[in-house]
Amino acid sequence: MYRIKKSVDSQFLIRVIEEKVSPEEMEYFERWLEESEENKEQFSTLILLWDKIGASKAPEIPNKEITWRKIVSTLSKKTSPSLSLNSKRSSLHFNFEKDEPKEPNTLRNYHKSFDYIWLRLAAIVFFSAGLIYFINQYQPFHNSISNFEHKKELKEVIKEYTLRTEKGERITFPLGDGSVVYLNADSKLIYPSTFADSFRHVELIGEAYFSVKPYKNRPFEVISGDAKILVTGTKFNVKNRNDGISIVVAEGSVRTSTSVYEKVQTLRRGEMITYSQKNNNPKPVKADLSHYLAWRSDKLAFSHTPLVEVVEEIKRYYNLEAIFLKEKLKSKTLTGLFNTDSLDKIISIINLTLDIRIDRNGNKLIVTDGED
Amino acid sequence: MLSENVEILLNLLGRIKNDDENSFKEFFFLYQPGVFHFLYRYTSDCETAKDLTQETFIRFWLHRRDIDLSICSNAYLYRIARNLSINYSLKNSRTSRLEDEENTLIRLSRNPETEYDSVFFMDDYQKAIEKLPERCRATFILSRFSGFDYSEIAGILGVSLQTVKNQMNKALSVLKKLLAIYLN
Repeated sequence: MYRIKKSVDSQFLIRVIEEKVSPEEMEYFERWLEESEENKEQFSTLILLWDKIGASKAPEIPNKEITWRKIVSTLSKKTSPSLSLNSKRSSLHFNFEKDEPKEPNTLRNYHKSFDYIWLRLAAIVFFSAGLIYFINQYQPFHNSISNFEHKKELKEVIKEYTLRTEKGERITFPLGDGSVVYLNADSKLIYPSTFADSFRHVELIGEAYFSVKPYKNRPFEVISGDAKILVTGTKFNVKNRNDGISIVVAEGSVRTSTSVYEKVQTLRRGEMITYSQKNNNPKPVKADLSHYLAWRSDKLAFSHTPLVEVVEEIKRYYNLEAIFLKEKLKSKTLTGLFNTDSLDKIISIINLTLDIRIDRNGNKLIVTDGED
Repeated sequence: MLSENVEILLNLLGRIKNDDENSFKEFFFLYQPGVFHFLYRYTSDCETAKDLTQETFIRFWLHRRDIDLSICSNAYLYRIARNLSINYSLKNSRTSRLEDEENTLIRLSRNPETEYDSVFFMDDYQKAIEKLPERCRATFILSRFSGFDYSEIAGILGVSLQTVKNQMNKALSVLKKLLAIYLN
């Protein structure tokens, strides 16, 4: 079938990036992408530009209450009395305003029913005290509800972005709050366009090293699979692959829990915890940092690691496929630290140490024993 | 704008138009981060952005009668924010801002520990955005950081859709050039 080559403009591509296209448009986009290398190049540059600029450093949002107070005080000076923000209706909500203007208002209604000045004075004291009590009692409650609603609505306004790495690819990625994420190969990080004032939250699939910028009263939370990791400012590694979730702390401390193991564990520098189906009593243990953080300095580290997992890592790192011709080889274990600059070297060392044979055929690794 | 927010917004705007101060407060709490972020990206200066955010909402309240509910977006708020920044940049030459930066650096060198959090340095991405011409920059920021689509941007800037497209293409190609080292 003959198809007229439609043109694709930046507006359309931006809508694709922001996931605002219909399924039909998506299909059209995918065809366009396949059309030429040039198109792929164009799109990948745009998405990179879009993501990186979106994550570019920004100052913290100024305190809302303080800004609001300034706005109200400027407006009170500028506007005529009838439009001022001191009206009875609003005074309960604008809690930072002085309460005095309200008292004459309230008392005016009772003016006529009191004949004696002393009674009136007593009433003033009584009412003022009552009013102050009422405000003190109910305002925090009211505010916490309205704050909660604001947060809920804000959550809808804030957009989520996804950062993905392919096999064989790693990204160092600055977040909007000044924290940095090192995303390992074949991983995914979901992060918001802007962090909320009181809370920072990201989600991780795969492996990443976080260097979280410390902000008091603004905790940083990583959700990875089942696990929840809560920090205020620290450096730590999270690995969430098929075999479970492990968290290693390089600096400061973090608190972890999962939906299965609700007990909150505190991890300090040099400690790690592993959550997996095999481990039914997860506890912090001492860990060799250089081992778990090796990937960041382009090294692969293994310690008594089953060959099947070693090969998984190699597949991820070099973007390869692998076949085991003999099942029993999968459970052989390997220990060692490898430079990643030469895959052939790694293969030959593994072959020698484990007495096996790994052949490389294009982008496929074939694992057999040394005999044939 | 996300569609589920349109109703909330329209509701708020309607009540603000009728002088409801509580709705104005709610509106402020919802959109202050967005407006501040826009103004920071536009002016590249945190303090200026703070002041102009405040001014934007004050103007918005004072001119609440002019809110056009048929447009059904907060375009009006961003139009005010942008106009204020244009006026601001006309009044304040770039040199005074550089002096400010120098003062900040001096302050920082005297007392690096305590001052660090209150001082903010631009990264190369923001520096690149700063280099874009005014209309081009406004277009790009509204699209990238404020999440408006092209027709909404056309409404805010008071230009045609075609102009938005042209400005956006220009912004993207300039940014690609300026940030080439980061885009490999």
